[in-house]
Amino acid sequence: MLPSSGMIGEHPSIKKIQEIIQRVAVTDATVLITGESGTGKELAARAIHTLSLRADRPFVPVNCAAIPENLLESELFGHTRGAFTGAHSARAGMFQLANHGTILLDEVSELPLPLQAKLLRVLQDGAVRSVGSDQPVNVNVRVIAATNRDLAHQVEKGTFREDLFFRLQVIPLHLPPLRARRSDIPLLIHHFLERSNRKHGLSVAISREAMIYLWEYDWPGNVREMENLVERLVILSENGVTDLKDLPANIRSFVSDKKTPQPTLSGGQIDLREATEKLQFRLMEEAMRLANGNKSAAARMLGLKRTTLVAKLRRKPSTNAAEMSPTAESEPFAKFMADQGSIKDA
Amino acid sequence: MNNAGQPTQGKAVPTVLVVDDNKGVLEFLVLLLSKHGLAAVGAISGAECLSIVKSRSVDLIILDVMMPAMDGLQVARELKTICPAVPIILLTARDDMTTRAAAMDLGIAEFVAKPVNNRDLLNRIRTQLHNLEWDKTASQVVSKIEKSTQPPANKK
Repeated sequence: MLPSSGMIGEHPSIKKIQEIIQRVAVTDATVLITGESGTGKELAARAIHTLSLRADRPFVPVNCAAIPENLLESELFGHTRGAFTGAHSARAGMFQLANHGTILLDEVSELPLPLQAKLLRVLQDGAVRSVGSDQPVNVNVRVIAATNRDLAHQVEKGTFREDLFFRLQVIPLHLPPLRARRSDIPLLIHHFLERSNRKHGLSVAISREAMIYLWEYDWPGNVREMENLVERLVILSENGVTDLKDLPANIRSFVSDKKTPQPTLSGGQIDLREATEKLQFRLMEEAMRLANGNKSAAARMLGLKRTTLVAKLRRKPSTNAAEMSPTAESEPFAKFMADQGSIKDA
Repeated sequence: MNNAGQPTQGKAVPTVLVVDDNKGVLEFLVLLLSKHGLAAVGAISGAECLSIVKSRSVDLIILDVMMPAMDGLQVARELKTICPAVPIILLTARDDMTTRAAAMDLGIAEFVAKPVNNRDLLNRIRTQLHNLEWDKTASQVVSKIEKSTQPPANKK
C-alpha cells in the first residue's frame, strides 16, 4: 500500500518526511524541497498538493531550467496582446493557471536575478503582473519550490536573493539520497519490481545475491535510477529471475571499485606496474566473486588458464602503507562536513 | 534508551563510536576521525560498545565484524534494540555473501570492506552525519508546523 505522502520507506528520515508532508499539506505554507536529482522532489510536491484543501484545484509544475530565459517571465506571469513581437494574443501564465491550486517551481535556483525580484513581489503581494500590463491581478496560489542546489551557498555567492530564499524556505523539506537510507533499498526494489511486473503482466523475481549488490550500490541517480533499472530488468528478464549476471556492469563492479580507490597521477607520480597489478587483482577478485569461488569459471571470464589465475591470485599485491595513514593535517569538523567530496569519486 | 538514539543537540561535534578488537586498527580509526574534527570514542569489544551506548549518547557507530566473544553482527543486532536510530557502518575484512546478506537484513547503514579506503569511509561517515543533521531540522520543522496550526485546532 502506497503511503499518502508518496514517499516509500521505513528509514527514520523518511518517516519524518512523511510526517512533515502530512502536517504541512493542510497549511498554505510555502515549502522549499531540496535533495539530489532523482530523490522524488516532484512526488513530494504532488503529495503536499493532493493532501491539501486545494487537491481538486490545479497542480502546475514548472521547470525553471527548461524554459529559455527570455520566455520565462511570460510563461510564469502571462502576457498581454502585443506585449512583445509575436505576442499575437493575450496569454495566461503558470501562476494564473495555478489559481486556487499549487504551483511547483522546480529548479528554482536557475531563476535569473531579475525574475527572482518579480517572484518575490508575487509572494509578498499575492498578485501577478502580466508582461505588458500595468495592472496586477490577484492570485491565490500555494507555492512550492524545489532545487538540487545548495541555495544558501548561492545566496552567499550572490546568485540567489537572500530575501527570496527566506520567503521560500518557510518550511524546508530535505529528501535524503538513497545511499543515506540504504536500509530502504530492498523494500524499494520490491515495490518497483511489483509495479513493473503488474505493468507488463510478468512475475519476475530477483535473486538474493543480486539484491545484495543492489543494496550496496550507491545509486547516484537515486530513486529514479532505481525505478528505471528495475523496469529494464523486468522487461529484459529471460527466465523470470534477475540474477547477478543480469545486473549492469557498473553495479557488478561497484563493490570492488569502492574498496580500491582508482589510482591517479595526482601525487605527480605513480608506479604503473604496481597500479596495473592491483587492477588485475581487483578484476580477478570480482571474477571469483561472480563465479562463486569457482576458479575455472573465473578464469574463463578473464580469458586466462585456470593455472595462470591460481598463480596470479597467490601474488596478492600489498596494500600501500600510505593509503592507510590518516591525513597529516587536522581539520575542524565544520570543514569536514563542508567537503563536497562525492562518493562517486572516492 | 531514547537518549542514546538521539543525535546530540545543537551544533555540537558528533560522537562516533569505533569498535574493533585490533588495537592498532582502533587507534588508527580514532586518530583518523579526530583529525577530521569528529569526537571519536573507541571500544575494544562488543561488550564495551554495548555498555558505552547504554551510558551515553553516540551519533554513529563504526563496527568491526570479526571479533572474539561477540562478533559485529551480534553486536549490531543488540544495538538495533538499544538505539535503533543510530546508524551503523559495518567494517569488515570478511566481505563474503553471508556477511553481506546478514548486514542487509539487519538494516545496516553502510558496509565497508577492509582494508579501508580512507576517503571512501570518510565520505560515508559524512553522508550519515549530514542525514542526522537534516533529521534534526526535520524535527524542528514538525514542531514549528504544530505550533502554527495549534490555535485553529484548539478552537474546535
